[in-house]
Amino acid sequence: MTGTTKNQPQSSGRSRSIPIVGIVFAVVAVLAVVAVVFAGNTEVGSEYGEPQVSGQLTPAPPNTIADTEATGETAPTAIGQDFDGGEVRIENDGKAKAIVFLAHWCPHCQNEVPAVQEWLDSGGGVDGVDMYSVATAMNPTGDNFPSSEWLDREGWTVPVIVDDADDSVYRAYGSGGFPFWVFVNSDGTVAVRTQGSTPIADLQQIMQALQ
Amino acid sequence: MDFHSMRLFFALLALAANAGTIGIVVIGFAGRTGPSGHALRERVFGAFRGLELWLGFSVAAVATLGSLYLSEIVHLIPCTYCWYQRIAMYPLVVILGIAALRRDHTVRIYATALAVIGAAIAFYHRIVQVFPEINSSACSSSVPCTAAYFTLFGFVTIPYMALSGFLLILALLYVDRSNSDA
Repeated sequence: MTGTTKNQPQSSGRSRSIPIVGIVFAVVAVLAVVAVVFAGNTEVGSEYGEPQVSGQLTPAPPNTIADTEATGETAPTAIGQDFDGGEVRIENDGKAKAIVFLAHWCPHCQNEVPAVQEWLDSGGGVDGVDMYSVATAMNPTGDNFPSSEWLDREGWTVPVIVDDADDSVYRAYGSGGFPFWVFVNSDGTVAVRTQGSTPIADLQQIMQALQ
Repeated sequence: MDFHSMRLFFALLALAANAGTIGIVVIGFAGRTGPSGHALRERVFGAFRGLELWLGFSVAAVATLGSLYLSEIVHLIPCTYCWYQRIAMYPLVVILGIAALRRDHTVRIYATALAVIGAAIAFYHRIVQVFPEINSSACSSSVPCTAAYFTLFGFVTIPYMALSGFLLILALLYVDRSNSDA
């Protein structure tokens, strides 16, 4: 620092040719104008459903890949609609079920959906086990919104219930980490729940073990 | 400005910060290539003389206000890594601000340490957003670090903005050192 004082007057004399402060303010001002002009309102609006839910499972313990906290409890009933308004019922109909809760902004869900769809497209799925999905935790300002477009784009063929703004269906099933799978025996009781990316092989194994 | 304008503004600021950082690095290298490169560096870096710490302070202040806007006004809850980045960024406002007032260039060593730590965390956070499986296998239902609140231009997320800020601060500290050595 002290060694620099000798050169300083000379350099700062030349420096006036580049008005750094002016440039910085000008750039920031231009960017602010550009932001206001070009932001547009890309708000797509919400697309919440109005599912009717009854029942409540023990909350899923956080950071647990597979939990049996709710094993043996009766799975909640959820009657709602898909994105096209078609009715979807998750209820005790005497069949085993695999229900997956999906959040559009979650990268693990974004990976899981095409993996599951590919499995189903190539003749996957387990006989006697119905698959359902719930589009939940929707956030209109979040990534990959809206869920409807995302699942359309992935060619998702599993029936979807659209959750409401309070995530009622998701919460009734215990609010596990996404993607959150709940496996239900044919008598309507929960077998096991898994949180996070679940490989197809595991999925198949769990579904085959359902009674 | 509504949220959409604000986040676009922040994203553009991040890109401008990238441009500034790259410019500084390129000119810094040019300064080693020969007499004309050296003259260019002297001329450009010389224009920053006396401003380096103030500019660093400004970057830290804008990043801090931006992060507070996102959490306190738009109510995006900071995840764990976001907090670690805040821990590195917020003190920079104070130490660079005081150092700029006092013309205390010894601040470089403290500010560089904080900015390097912050940049490393921000970089890791951004990587985790792209490759979530390296961090965890599930998105927590509360505030997952793996999920970006928003992505602009296909790659600018909040930790990317933080990383841009830290790198520009480091670049300005480099200019400060270069000018002090001159």
